Amino acid sequence: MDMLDATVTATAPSPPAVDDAALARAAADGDTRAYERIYRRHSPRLYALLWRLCGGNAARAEDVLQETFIQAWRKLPQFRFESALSTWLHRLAVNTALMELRATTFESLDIGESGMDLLAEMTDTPRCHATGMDLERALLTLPPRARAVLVLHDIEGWKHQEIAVELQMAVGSSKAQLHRARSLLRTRLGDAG
Amino acid sequence: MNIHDDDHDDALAQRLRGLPSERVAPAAVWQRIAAELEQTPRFQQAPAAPALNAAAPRRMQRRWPRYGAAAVIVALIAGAGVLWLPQQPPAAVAVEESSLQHQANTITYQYRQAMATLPQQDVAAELQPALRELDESAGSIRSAIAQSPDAAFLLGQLQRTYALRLELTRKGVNPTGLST
Repeated sequence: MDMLDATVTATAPSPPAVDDAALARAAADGDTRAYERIYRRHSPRLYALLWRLCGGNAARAEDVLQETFIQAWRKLPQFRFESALSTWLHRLAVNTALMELRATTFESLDIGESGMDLLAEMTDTPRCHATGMDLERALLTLPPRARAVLVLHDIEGWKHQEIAVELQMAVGSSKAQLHRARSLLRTRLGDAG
Repeated sequence: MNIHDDDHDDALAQRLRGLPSERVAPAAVWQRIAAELEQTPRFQQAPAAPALNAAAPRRMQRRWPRYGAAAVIVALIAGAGVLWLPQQPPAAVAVEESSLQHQANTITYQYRQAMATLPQQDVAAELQPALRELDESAGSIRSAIAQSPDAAFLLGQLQRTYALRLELTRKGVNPTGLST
């Protein structure tokens, strides 16, 4: 089954006329049109992931998406096709997003009301009219690290071992964060209901 | 974890997997990427300074208006009248310094100049732990920039952190609130 057959909010994609490998080879040779087609094909999936990892902060998610595709452009000549292009891009996007997460320590701040006002302005959570809105909104309120584990494990299907490597934590910590995230999510969904 | 929890987890995981798997990014994202591709070398070798410096200001420009807090730092620095001071900013130093580090150093220099205009000894005591936390955050981000000189988004992080530090300091100095 094509991975794009999953729940989709964008226009339903038609089968790719040119496969990823051919586009990747052309892009690696400097063909920016081919690279744009790669972007059009893969960015919706990546942006959905990044948007969640960034807590619904569209500006941050856009920055990470941009950074991912710039890095991918640089690294494409070294891409050996040992994995699918989509998998490679997915890994690159997650790694880029998590670098930002690791650099962010706002989670632990206690800065009073004025600071919180500023942080609230920065968060800038956009409205969304998709189904499952309550769940989506509750997901965005989770602490960044717990949210990342939940998104990668429960939505993206990663194993704890993989998450532990990416987030530089023990496997047990990944499991604990997942448990924490699920508990918080259930609580918040209950509160919202 | 008991069976009851497992059932809850399964149901929750099923709902999570049902969330939309795609989201369309604004068209401007590709436009910015395309502009960067023109300037971006294909390999991650240490680039010659002029090439990267040519690309860097454009990325900075798009970030300033998009982060409210980044706008705050511009307003505060400009308001304090400390831009373009005739002392030496960290501009002409370190030949092997990356473009990102150079920008980070410039922002840090401007931030410090802005901070120097505020009477920090008068900042309310209850804000001090938060200010220390922000200082540590800024330090962590600068370390991350040093380790990952291609991670341009860290510059936004640094700007936001400095903006918040300035804003909180300002409010701490004058609790009636000078800023908007």
